[in-house]
Amino acid sequence: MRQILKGGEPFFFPGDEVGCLLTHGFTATPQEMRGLGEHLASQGRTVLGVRLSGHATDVRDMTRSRWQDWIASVEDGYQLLEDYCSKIVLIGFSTGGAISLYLAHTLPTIGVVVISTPHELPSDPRIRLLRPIIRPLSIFYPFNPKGPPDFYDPEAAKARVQYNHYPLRAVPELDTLFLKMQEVLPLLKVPVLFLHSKNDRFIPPEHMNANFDLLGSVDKSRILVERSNHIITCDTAREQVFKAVSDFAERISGKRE
Amino acid sequence: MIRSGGQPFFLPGGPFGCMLIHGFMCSPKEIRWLGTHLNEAGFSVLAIRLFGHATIPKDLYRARFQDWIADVEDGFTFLHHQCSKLVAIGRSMGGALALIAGAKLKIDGVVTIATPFNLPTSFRDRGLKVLIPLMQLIGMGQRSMMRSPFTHDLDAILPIDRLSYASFPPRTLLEVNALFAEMQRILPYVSVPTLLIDGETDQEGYPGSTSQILDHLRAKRAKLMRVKPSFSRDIRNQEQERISAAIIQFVTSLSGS
Repeated sequence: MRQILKGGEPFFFPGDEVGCLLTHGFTATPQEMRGLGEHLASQGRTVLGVRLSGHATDVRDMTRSRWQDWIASVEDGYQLLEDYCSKIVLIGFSTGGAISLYLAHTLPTIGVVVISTPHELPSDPRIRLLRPIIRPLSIFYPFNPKGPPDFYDPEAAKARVQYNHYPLRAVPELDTLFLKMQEVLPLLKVPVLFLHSKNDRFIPPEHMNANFDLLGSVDKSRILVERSNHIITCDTAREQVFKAVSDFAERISGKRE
Repeated sequence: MIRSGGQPFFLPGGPFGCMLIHGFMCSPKEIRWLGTHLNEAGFSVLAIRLFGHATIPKDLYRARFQDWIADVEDGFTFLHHQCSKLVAIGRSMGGALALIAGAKLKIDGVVTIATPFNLPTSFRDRGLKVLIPLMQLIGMGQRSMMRSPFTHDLDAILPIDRLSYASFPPRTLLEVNALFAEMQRILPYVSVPTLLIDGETDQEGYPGSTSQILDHLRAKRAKLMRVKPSFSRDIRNQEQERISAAIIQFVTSLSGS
């Protein structure tokens, strides 16, 4: 029996000197980044999709996860990619985007792609109400079931590999991570591309705008896609997302004027 | 944040891949010499970082042995993409993980360096199973730290500056014990060629020494090699080269099979 869920393994596709470090989102797995990774690899890039600590194994592992563990998982990936590539682009989806932005402050990256990333915890009234007591509450009520995967594309919903519960203990960790991200945003200088869906029912595009406005970089751009819910790397607009990311990687790595 | 120098490393090379696994409380830095030698011989080398290591000792409190097995699976996926043959090489507790990989994953050979069959009796005392949860109950679990009880005469060949923790939370001892129990359980399923490297005088330190691993292995092509360590700097380099040469020869011999 393997520890890691089938289909949720990390992936590495060797290619040229431009390395793309892909980071998945909260309670998800590298599966949601694989399509994007395969596209970037087909364009010649080197691609590493990391697995965050506590993810893609058992949801109970996430009650032990701290935000620093997730940072360390991406740092590990950065190090391995750096031994292979001279230029590295950090590409993160949702929580992975927050980690990528946070690390862009300390690691010498050439650019960051931020996909469907929240500015803070979702404005779900339950989260707002429970936030002060969520840590003690998580001892008695550790997991809250998720709804079924919500996609425009039914095939994407079928292919999804993820946990079916939210671990309550990890919510304050997320909160801290978003605060840390907000702290470094004004300090960043590298090019950043934001991608979000107009129809994101989970994290509305206002989150992207708040991050965009706070960001210090001069070279920053944002793209809104349509007909997709939160997970735009797998939903109907995925081809548009893939192309936007690969164009951005080519531009900032100097492969295209 | 990972301590500088304690990051995992990747040395790209030929179609033979070597995955290096460091020991308990240590970091990939302790086996960089081996990675360099193997890479010079033409192999691709990946040295992984185990969860909770090379950051702060307190992180070990949250580690479970399953996390470490998942880290090995990550490393396997990373190398598997680009290598036709794969060998897992572990030092001390890393050797136990390498053996578990040998039983569970599609790899072609296992090398252990200074891996015991058991921990010293006092550290696998049944009393600890009661004492440690009791310490946690009265709030001593996270604050109290143990000095390292583990020494092996082969430690003499490791670099002095190897980013090892000086102490660890007692809770982790239960995980190390559980990992060795898991290793003992899977030994009869390890059928790939195995090379066990051990010190000459280890029987004194560990009653359950490496030779007991040999007795339990299913592998027909298993070999025990004994090395005489020394604390003198010149001899350390010589012994490192000797061990590296033996491993290179072992990996090369797999190409015929």
